[in-house]
This record gives sequence, structure tokens and C-alpha cells, in this order.
Amino acid sequence: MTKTNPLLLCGLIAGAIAGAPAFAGTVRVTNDVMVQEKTVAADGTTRIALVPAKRVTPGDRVVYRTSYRNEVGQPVEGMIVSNPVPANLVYRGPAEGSPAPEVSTDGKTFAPLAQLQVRAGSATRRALAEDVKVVRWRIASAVPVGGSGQYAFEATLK
Amino acid sequence: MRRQGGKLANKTSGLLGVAIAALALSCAVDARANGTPAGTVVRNIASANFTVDGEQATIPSNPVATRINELLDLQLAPKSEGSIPVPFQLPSDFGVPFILTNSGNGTEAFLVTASVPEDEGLSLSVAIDVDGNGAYDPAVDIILSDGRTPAVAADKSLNLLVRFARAPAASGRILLAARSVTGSGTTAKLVPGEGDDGTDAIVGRTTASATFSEPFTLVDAPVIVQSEPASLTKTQTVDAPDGSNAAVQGATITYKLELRTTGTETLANAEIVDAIPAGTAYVPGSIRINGAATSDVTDSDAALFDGAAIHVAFGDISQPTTQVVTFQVTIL
Repeated sequence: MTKTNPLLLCGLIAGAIAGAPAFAGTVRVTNDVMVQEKTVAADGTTRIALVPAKRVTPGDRVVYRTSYRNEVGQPVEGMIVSNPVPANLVYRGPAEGSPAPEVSTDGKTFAPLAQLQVRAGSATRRALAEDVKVVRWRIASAVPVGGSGQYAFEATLK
Repeated sequence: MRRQGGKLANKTSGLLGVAIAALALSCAVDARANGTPAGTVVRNIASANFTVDGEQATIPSNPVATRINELLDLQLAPKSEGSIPVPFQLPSDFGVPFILTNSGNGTEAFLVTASVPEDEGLSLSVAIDVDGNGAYDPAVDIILSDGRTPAVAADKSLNLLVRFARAPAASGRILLAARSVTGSGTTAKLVPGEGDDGTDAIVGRTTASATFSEPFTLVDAPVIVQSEPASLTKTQTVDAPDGSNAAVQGATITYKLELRTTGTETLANAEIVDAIPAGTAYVPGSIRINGAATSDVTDSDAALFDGAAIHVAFGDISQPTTQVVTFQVTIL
């Protein structure tokens, strides 16, 4: 896993792609790849902790965790955090503790998975988790200054 | 297996290495797709969209890149079911076919050994059945001289032939063992830096090793005649002139020769020859064959006394049989 300075990188890419924003500061978006690490406590219960993914092999389940923090200096509205499911991974669902995302099989239409259809030849069928290409979370209310959130989904490496 | 810049970093080098690499491509068979190749870098950038003062903005996250490690796994299976018939007269192209699959996600070489536990002196070799026809052809197929396969790409299989140096002594089983060269053993065992593209290799669920015990039946072996050695027992009884059993001068010794055989074939030219002991004199006309009196000269009966030994020529007798010969001497 490579992790660059989020502030610096975000500023650079945002400047390059969207043009220089008219507002000061930014929304810091941080992405991590984690894996579940199970440990058995002294009382016999199993605890699951997320730790950075050091080694990943086919069949492993990983968690993509995205957080944001409003550092713009004023409230932002219509916040949507989205993340593409990488090509070699199969979406499995929201990670433990994260709200369920809206998902998309084409990057355009987003809905809960159960409401999506995909084409299968000349017919359509219900979308399956492996059809999911992008996930996103919409934050209904305005995000205040310093407001933050964190979302995560699980995926399995093909 | 460590591989950098598309070149295999195995021990072979130069032209031979190239030839072996080419071989790996030409004789490997496609197996089912089995996962993201080792060394693949999976990248991901999340983003946030929002509005500030009516202006829309998109901010990307830091990129994350996950390099996929090599999982070491293999599968080994026979290509036929049931006990394999092994002809006693081994045809030169004979081989027992197995299939070895690299079910990991990297390019791997494997070490393969074969043995027959019931016949430890029997030398076995393993060949790649390049054309996959289940028969050994020295012009096409390749014996693994050190048991090491060429590199096999992920999801590819090798057709193998187990070859006998000679026909096995009896029916038994072939014990075939294979393991990944890079590492094998406990699942999740780490082999740092030895995976494709310098990734860490990790032993998978199959333990990157497999053994397979395949029974075989020796067929068309000639019937071995169990020719038990004939047993000849000799007993004696002594009758002294005084009616006792004392071995004194003038006493008569009756020798009993009992021939027992337990074979099944005809016993050819069977003959008993027994010399008269020193200090004794043969009692003329005393030879009995199964209780029947015979003469001492060469004639139609089987018995003869030549002055030093008695001879009883049975000729060809069918087995199993018991023949009892008695004769007498007197103590001088």
C-alpha cells in the first residue's frame, strides 16, 4: 500500500482536473486498504480489527475505507463520497460499521443493490454483488466546518 | 517463483533456460482461471463531490496501490480411475498418466517424485507427456532428470507420466508427490521476496504440496510354478539277533526312505540313490517300493543294487506324491 500526503495530492489533482476552486481549503479525502484481523481475546471472544493490508492474495477479503473532512472553512452541501470497485475485486457489501452504499453497475445509475437490474443477453436480471462497479454514499445534510465521516466496503480479490 | 522483467530467475541459464521456458509454454495445458496474477498492482482512488456556494467540486483521495502477492498452490490428480493395469512385459511407451496443475497465481516450477512403497528397489521416473497422449515417446516427451518441472504459468497444467525402470514385482501402488520449488508446507507460510516480480510468496490452502497414492495391478504375469523342494527323510530300525534293538554285529538295519513332494508339475527322472554304510552288508532282495518287493538287478522294476548303493528310479511321477523305499543291511 502506498500512501501519499493527502493534502498535497488532493490539492494538486483537484487543481489539475477541476480547475482551481474558488474557495479556500479543501475537503480532505483519505483512502485506505485494510484487512480484517481476527484475534481471540482472553475471554474466548473473537475480535475483528481493521489493519492495513500488507499482503493480499486471491480469495482475500479487503476493506476499502474512505474518510472525508471538511477543511474548506465553510459548510459544504450535497456531499457524495464515491469509490470505484477495482477491476480485480468483487464487491461484497458494506464493511462492518459502515452504512450500506448505493451501488451502480454502470457508474451512472445508483440505487440499493436489490433495486438494480443488469442486461443478460436480450433479457434483464437482478444485479448481483459481482456486477457492482462503483459504490457511493450521499450525505443528506450539509457538512459543517470540520465535519467528517467515514465509509467502507468489503471486496474479495479475484 | 521469483521472476523479474518477464525472465525466469531459475537456476538454468542461457539457451537451456530459454528452451525450458519455451517448453513450459508449449506443453502446459489450460486449467480454470484462478485469480489475479501475482505482481498485479490494484489501484484505487475514491473521490468526494460537494457544493460550496453553488460551485460544484470534485476532490480525489490519495491513490492506494495494492501489489498482489503470490499464492503457492498446486493440484495433483491421476488421469484414470481405479487400479491401473501394469503389464508384466512392460511396453517401452508405458507410463501412468497424472496431471499437475499450478493452481496458484504465479509462475512456478515443481519437484515431483514417484515411488512404489511395496517395491523399494524399483526405480521410477517422471516424464512430461508433452503431447498428452498418455504414452511415452522419447522423441516428444521429456524425462524430468532431477524431478524438477519447467516453470508452469498460473492456471496451467502439466501432463505427467510415471515410468517404471522395470516391471514391478507385484501389484501395489504408485506414490506420487509434488511440491512447489519456491516453498511449501503450512498454509500461510511466508517466503519473503520469492514470489513473481519480487513479491512475497505465501503458501496457499493446498500447502503447495500434494501426494497421491494410485493403486496398480500387475497383469499378464507368467504363472510362477511353486516348486517346493522335495523332502527325503531317512529313518532306521535295528533288530539284533537277541531280539533287542542293539546295533551289534549280526543285527539287521532296516532303512526307510520317504520321498514327499508338494509341487504340482510332473517330477521328471526322479531317482533315489543311497549308499550302503561302511561296515554293513546289503541284504539281497531287500528293496521294497511302497511295500512291493523288487529285484536287485536292472530289469523292469525300478530298483537296483550296484554293489555299493541302492538305486530306485521312479522316472516321471506326478505331484504331489509320497514314495516309501525300504532296504536292509546287516552289521558286519
